[in-house]
Amino acid sequence: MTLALTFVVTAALLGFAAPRVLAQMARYASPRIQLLGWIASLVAFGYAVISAVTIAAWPNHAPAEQITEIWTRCLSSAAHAVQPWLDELIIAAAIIVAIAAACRTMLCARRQKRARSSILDYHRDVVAVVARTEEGEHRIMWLDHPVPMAYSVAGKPGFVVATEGLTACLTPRERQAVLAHEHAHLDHRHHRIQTVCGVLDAALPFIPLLHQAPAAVAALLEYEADRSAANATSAQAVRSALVRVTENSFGAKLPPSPCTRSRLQHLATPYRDRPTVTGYIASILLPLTATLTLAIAMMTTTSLLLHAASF
Amino acid sequence: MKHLGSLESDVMNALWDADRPMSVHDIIDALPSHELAYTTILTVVTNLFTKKFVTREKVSRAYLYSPAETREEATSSTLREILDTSRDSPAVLMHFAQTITPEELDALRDHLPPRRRKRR
Repeated sequence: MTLALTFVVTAALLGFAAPRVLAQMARYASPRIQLLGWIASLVAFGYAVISAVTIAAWPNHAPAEQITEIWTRCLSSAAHAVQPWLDELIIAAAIIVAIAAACRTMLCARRQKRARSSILDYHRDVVAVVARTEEGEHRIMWLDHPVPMAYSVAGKPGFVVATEGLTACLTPRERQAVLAHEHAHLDHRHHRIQTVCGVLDAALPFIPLLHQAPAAVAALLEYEADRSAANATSAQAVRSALVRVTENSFGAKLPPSPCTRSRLQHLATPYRDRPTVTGYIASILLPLTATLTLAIAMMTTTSLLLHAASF
Repeated sequence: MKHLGSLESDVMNALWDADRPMSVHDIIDALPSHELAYTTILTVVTNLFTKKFVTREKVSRAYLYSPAETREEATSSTLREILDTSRDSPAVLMHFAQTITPEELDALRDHLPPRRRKRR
């Protein structure tokens, strides 16, 4: 029960405090490090929740609990004071909440899958008929329309849809940058990351980490795809392509959206804060280790205080 | 063997490029590859009729097919439908320039004439 409670505290810390820490990271960390930080926090959150429920529901004592025996001894006096029926009530409630959350997540995942297959059907039945298909590393469907537009569609295999407006409005290098951006989304499975974040947000929107993840991760994925496109062409080509596509699609009189502005800023400083190996390892491990350590410290302090108060 | 979707696109292009309604034989003659079987093109054009891409009228014993919309109209209504669905499923479609604000969406809609008919 003690270990389960520690994981509950870890999950709560991650769920409610992590978004603030991750938002602060935007000031000094590169998009890739931030992206890893978000993904690691989401994984750590899931791990903490599943561990808490598994350990709580385990008959007698979970095997892992023996490891924490030394520091849990302090809590035992407080735990013994708790009524036995309360213990069972908490476990039952935890299991019910976990099952409800799992069911909601599965339902949202199914809804998302249905939306995806309906979009794929639409592209197969309608877009493929109207478009000129260009086979290559990734299939490109060219639509004969003057508005410059490009997007990638998740699928097996994924593909890109683009309008001839890109050819008319952009230079060949800028057009290549737009296609490289879309290819980066497909090659690095950005749709999948975005789908997982979207499903978790739809299922449990009241947890700040899950609610804020889709927007934050979407922006970071755009920076990442821009960076890949800049490597394939040049940062200047991606920048001017973005400006021209935005102006020609939405009109020059509209100010660029905050998302477009920050993408342009990131492209203006392409080699700032290049991620290091230490940065990668830290961004993956820190969310779980830091919050787990904090949770253990909080639990130990609470138990010591309770222990002292009981005498 | 060409993919059926690609054949549908070829048939539509042939119909759009022609200035009069076409029979299945006319379509076969207009296609880049003349070796396609009559029944294959009949299936393709019947599919296109079911999807409301083409209209047909019976002249003596054969059907004559013509496009239901011009190429520009068909492309515009397709883009408009894509725009409508992409708001609901941002994770499936990732746009190069994201439409975040309602003003942006309206500006983009201004470029696309209203949908004339609902497919599917």
